[in-house]
Amino acid sequence: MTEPLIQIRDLRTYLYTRRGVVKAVDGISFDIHEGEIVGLVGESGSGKTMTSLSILQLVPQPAGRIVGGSIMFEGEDLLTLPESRLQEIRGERISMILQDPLTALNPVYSIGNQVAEPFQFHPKEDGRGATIRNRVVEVLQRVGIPAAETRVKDFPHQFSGGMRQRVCAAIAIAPRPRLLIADEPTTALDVTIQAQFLRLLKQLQQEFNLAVLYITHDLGVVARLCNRVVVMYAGKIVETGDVTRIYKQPAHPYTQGLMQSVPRLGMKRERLFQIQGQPPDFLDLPQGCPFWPRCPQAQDVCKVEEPPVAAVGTAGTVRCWFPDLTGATQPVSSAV
Amino acid sequence: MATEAPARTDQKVLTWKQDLRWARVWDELARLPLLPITILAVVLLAGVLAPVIAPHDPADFELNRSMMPPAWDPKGSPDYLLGTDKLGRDILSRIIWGARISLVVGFLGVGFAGTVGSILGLAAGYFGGRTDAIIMRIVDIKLSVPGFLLALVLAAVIGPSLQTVIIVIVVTLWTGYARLVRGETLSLKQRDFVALAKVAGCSPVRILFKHILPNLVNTIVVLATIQLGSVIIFEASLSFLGLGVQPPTPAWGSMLADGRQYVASAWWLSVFPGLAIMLMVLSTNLAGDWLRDRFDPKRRQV
Amino acid sequence: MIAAHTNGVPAATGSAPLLQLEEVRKYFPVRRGLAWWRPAGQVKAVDGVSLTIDEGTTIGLVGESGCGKTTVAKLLLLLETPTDGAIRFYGKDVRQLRGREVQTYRQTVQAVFQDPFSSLNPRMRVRDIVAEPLVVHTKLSSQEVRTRVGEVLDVVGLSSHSRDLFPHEFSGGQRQRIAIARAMSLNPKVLVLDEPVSALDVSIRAQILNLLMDIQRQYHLTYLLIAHDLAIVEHVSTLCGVMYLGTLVELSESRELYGNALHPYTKALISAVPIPDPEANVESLPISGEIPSPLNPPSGCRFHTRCPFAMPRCSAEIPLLRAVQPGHQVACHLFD
Repeated sequence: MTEPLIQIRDLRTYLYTRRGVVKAVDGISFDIHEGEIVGLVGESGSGKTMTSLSILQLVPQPAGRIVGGSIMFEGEDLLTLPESRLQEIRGERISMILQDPLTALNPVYSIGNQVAEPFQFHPKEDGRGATIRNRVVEVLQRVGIPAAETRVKDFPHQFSGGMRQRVCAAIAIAPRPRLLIADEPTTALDVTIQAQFLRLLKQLQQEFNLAVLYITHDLGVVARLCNRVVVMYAGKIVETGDVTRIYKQPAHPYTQGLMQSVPRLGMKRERLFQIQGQPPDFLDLPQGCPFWPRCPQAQDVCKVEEPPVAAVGTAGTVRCWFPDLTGATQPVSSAV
Repeated sequence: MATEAPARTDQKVLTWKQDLRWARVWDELARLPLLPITILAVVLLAGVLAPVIAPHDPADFELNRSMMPPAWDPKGSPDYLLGTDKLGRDILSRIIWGARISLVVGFLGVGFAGTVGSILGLAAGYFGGRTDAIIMRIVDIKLSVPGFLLALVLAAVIGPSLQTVIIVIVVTLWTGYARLVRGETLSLKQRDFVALAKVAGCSPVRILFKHILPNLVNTIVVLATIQLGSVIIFEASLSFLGLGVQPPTPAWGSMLADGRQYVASAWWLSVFPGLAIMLMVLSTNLAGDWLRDRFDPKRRQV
Repeated sequence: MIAAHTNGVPAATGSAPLLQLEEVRKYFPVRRGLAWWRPAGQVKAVDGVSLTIDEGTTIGLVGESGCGKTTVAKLLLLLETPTDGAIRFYGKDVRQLRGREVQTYRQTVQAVFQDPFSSLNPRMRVRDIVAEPLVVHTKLSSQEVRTRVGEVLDVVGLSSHSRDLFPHEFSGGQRQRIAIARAMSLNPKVLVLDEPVSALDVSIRAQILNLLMDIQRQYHLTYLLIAHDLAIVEHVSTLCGVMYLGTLVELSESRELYGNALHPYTKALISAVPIPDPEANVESLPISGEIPSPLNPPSGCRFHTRCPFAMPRCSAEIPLLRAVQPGHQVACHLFD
């Protein structure tokens, strides 16, 4: 296998709040390869957004601090780079699409202006005036904005939600980045508009051989879009693996619970499987495995010691004392 | 009952929350703005206990000892710590009694203005339509008239007195509360719990006073605290112009006015009341800022 | 365990259904600029919806933003009055309910809303939130109110310790339980559920859906479930209506609707929902285009601008909702 595009190792991002230290990201490691869509799944407060902000080092200040780990991207450790180099990487090599397209766009500048911005800051070739304009129109057409030539002069409020998200996508892909981080980009969109946007994202990804880190809580979207899945719970990665394996034979009790608790169209059941208990409180995480108070298979050891990471399936991992390894296509290396 | 007993994980969370509550109390105490609170407490005590703690009768004049400098001056006397004015009245006692006037004017003025303004703002925001239009047009008209001019006219018409000062303050300040409360009411009205209160059959009065007002109290208290400072300045200004509290009642503003002529020869006449006004206003503003931060959940988070 | 309604329902006229919407319309005037007294147009939020809600059933309403499903809920909760048409409560137009009858209606029809953070008054303790409907409607002694509050908290699975806490001390799922307890306190017949789980974490949704289905069975409740998530509506409801731009385009038994959708919009909607299964995730009927503005809806069939099967007739003539099979109604010219 080729060298991954981005390699995250033991990343730790803590938030220092008045009530205590929140270990929002607590020692996570995963890779994203070129041309791969990785779904980062977790509930609100599982640390998935903080992970994406850590990659771009946009962790909220002054509370947030990256306290450890490394993020290797194209041979450089992002965590040790000076701010000036980071600014070149942000937008040019790694770009981002956020959840709310309305607040992501500046209401006082025209769409054309905002799409042109990366061209001005990150000039690939010497482009001025008309050339920039042509490229802006081209990018807007690429993301499917109808009548792009005339709409470049319009302002964000003149676009619908779905179209605004397309504009955000245009801004993100305009400088031809290698990695695109999409943080719940369709949560604010309607179902049919979401389907259109997902189609567009898949096209763009294939066309530019983009690597995408797609952050969401929607298991349906992940199944439709992603190649690989990373599941987070309470700041830790509980399971990673190939999308088919994760959906067909999840190894971690939390992943299993998630998969079973979602109602599916056309498969009406009397009663949904439910994960017991409440989401974890970061300031009062239990000892041992953070999931044990809600885990149906919890044993005494889970309550005391952090579970080991075991290999499962092809290049998959699971962090559990008693993982369900029936889905493992290769023998488990060890239960360390 | 539910067929499966839901996991009662909340039990453990509860005890933990109780511990946290105590931690928070300590945390809050550590963050109290000590200086402003001390100054306000001193002024409050001075005002309330004026008859007990004032060393002299503030109106007791004796021309023989007029214009005595403060005690630390060689010509001063330890009996008159901050010196005396041109009629020989004790400055310290007059400042202590003056605190009473400032407090009465401040609290009554802000209290009445806040009550009137908040009720009108609540009505305008909640009922909307014609009620809103009428109340807000009155606010607009009021705001288009220069405040101090209005005060001068009112004082001239009713005649200067403590009551006049309070009336003038209420007339000047209620619009601020009305606007603020109306805006907040408009946004609270959209919240689901207000809709659910209607669904539960609550009357408009119950919704206003049980659901909307309690969520506004913080905002109103913050505005009131910050306004306390400007009310004290306002009263001082009116008294300075002779339109406020009438002599011989001691008020900081009129003391300042009396001392004006003698700034060069007897600085203590104007500096001490001026200092009192400044410290009082500064501490109410600081306390107001602190309260605002304290109540603002966004600032409280981290 | 709970004293049933002592004041009963208005002299029920034999077989009149519990609730009935007859050609209900709700237009909101839109004012622009300085001329606030002169409406610039009307948003046709609900435009001729007829629906019968029988006792003990669950009717689901699905649709995308602007389809009018939430307005239908508000109309039923008497938070809005219809511009035209009638809502009948045991045959009686709700606009003619007076005094005592309005109170009875309020006791019979309660609601749970989407956002558990906005639907509980942050300044009230849980016991006061849950007790409020009892205080407003009944003359129970404080001891009786206390007992009743304990009962409903138990029904929704909250311990009695929670009664003295404020809403912010609970997680989203627990808050939604409090909201359900409040709605249940008067022992209503109908619950209007407006997106009751869409603001919750995936692992909590199943808990709340199971709870809602349990209490429905136990107290013979009637539900009107409003959601944008087809899978949830299918899971919970017996009958399902699909709305588009203020009109009901299809209405049928929910299993039938999923297995045998007739209206092109319903088909597109079903195919747009991402299914949490990587192997069964093809969009069979992708549709393009935006949802038109309800301020200026398309003529004829509202869906003709996005419909792959549109005929000339569709832009001219409004299709009527009519039964094409027993119990399956659709408003589409394809089935005339």
